[in-house]
Amino acid sequence: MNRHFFQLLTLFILLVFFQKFVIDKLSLGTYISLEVYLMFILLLPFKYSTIKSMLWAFALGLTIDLCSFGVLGLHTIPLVGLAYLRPQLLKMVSATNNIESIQAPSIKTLDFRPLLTYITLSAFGFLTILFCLDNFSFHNLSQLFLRILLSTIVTTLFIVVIQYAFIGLRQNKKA
Amino acid sequence: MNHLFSYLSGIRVLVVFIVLEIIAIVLFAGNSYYQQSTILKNIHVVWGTVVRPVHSLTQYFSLGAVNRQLAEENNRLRNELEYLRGSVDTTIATVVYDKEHRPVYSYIPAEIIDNSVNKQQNYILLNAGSEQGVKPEMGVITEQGVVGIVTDVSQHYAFVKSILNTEWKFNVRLNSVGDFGPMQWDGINYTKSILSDIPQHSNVVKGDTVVTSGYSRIFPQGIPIGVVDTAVVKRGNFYEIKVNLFIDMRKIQYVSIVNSIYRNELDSLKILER
Repeated sequence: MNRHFFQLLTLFILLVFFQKFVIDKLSLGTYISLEVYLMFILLLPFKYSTIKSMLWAFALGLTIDLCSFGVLGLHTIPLVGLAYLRPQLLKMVSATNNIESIQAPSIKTLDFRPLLTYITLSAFGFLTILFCLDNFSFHNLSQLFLRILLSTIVTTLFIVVIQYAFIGLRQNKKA
Repeated sequence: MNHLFSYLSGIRVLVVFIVLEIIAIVLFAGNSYYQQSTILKNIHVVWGTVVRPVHSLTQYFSLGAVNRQLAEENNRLRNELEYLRGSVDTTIATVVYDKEHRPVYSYIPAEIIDNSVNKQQNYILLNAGSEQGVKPEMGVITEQGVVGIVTDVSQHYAFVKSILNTEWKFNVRLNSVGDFGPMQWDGINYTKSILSDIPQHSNVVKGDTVVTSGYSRIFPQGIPIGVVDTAVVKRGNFYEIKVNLFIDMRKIQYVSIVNSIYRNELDSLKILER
């Protein structure tokens, strides 16, 4: 149990509370859902062990499932899948290999376009599985597609904006 | 040797992945709603205690709207009282009282402490439970119409399947024509719901009020739910009617749980019928 673990745990709790008490109260309509906690898995360090990140994803998914009561496993299935595929996604977008193990994917360590690709692909994959499980049928296909599309755009934008707001700010302070 | 190590660690990742996904899928699909809800029941108690302080804080922001709502309700009740005073003995006997003038329904007040509208299967958490006399399968209503049906009860909390849940239907009636059919949310818009199985020959008009039928005894009959928006013929000779709901599920806070006093008796009769 080191410092990094507690940092992650704090972020974990903050994100769950933020999702539940701020985002979910916004009522963005049936088509848009903003899944902020996705950030937790996406922004784990580059070389973070896949097994550990899958365990985090499992815990996160289950917590969200329990908080948004209803179906257990709904958020867990796509989150664990995302954590499993994350190294491949990162390998795809970051061409160079000279990245330090403690660094996390952010606007500091990745260019804008690879970062955007990484977040968009992850959000799209995650939300597709999430909404398919939520629907659990193939009628209303157009509605399903619209939900996936709009939610992917909103979630991606939000995560990117957060990146600029926090990391951009910190860099300004240092300068 | 290095190759072997990397191969083995790759396998280990895959195994952990498969194990975690299997657990998640078993949780997701392996059990019926009923079984899952008994697990969830205990968690609701914990979650309820977490949500409560936050809720009591955010409650202040909506006090204005609640006051207005209460004033409107007072006004309406006063009007109704006046009306009933004039027509006692004749009209009310069939609606609220039985032959010996005992009430058929009683109401348990409750407050919503958690609510969702942006999923396909939406649920609500109420702060009344078995201690207040709440039981599963009781209806939940407000001034503006039907809210949902209780599916699970712990000592101090009740878990309600919302009207915005694509897996729940209940019986409603078109007020002016009298035809009835099931109403079920289509998962698209939280202000609209779908009424189906109304025969094509019935005279459906835009703006007609949709009310509860009262057949199931979950809700008293005649509670207004919404008005007819559009009606199209689908699947042969039945109308599919889009209904504008009176209720705004994002804003409700206080609800009444319907306790049907003769429910058990009626249910046992239905069993005999079969």
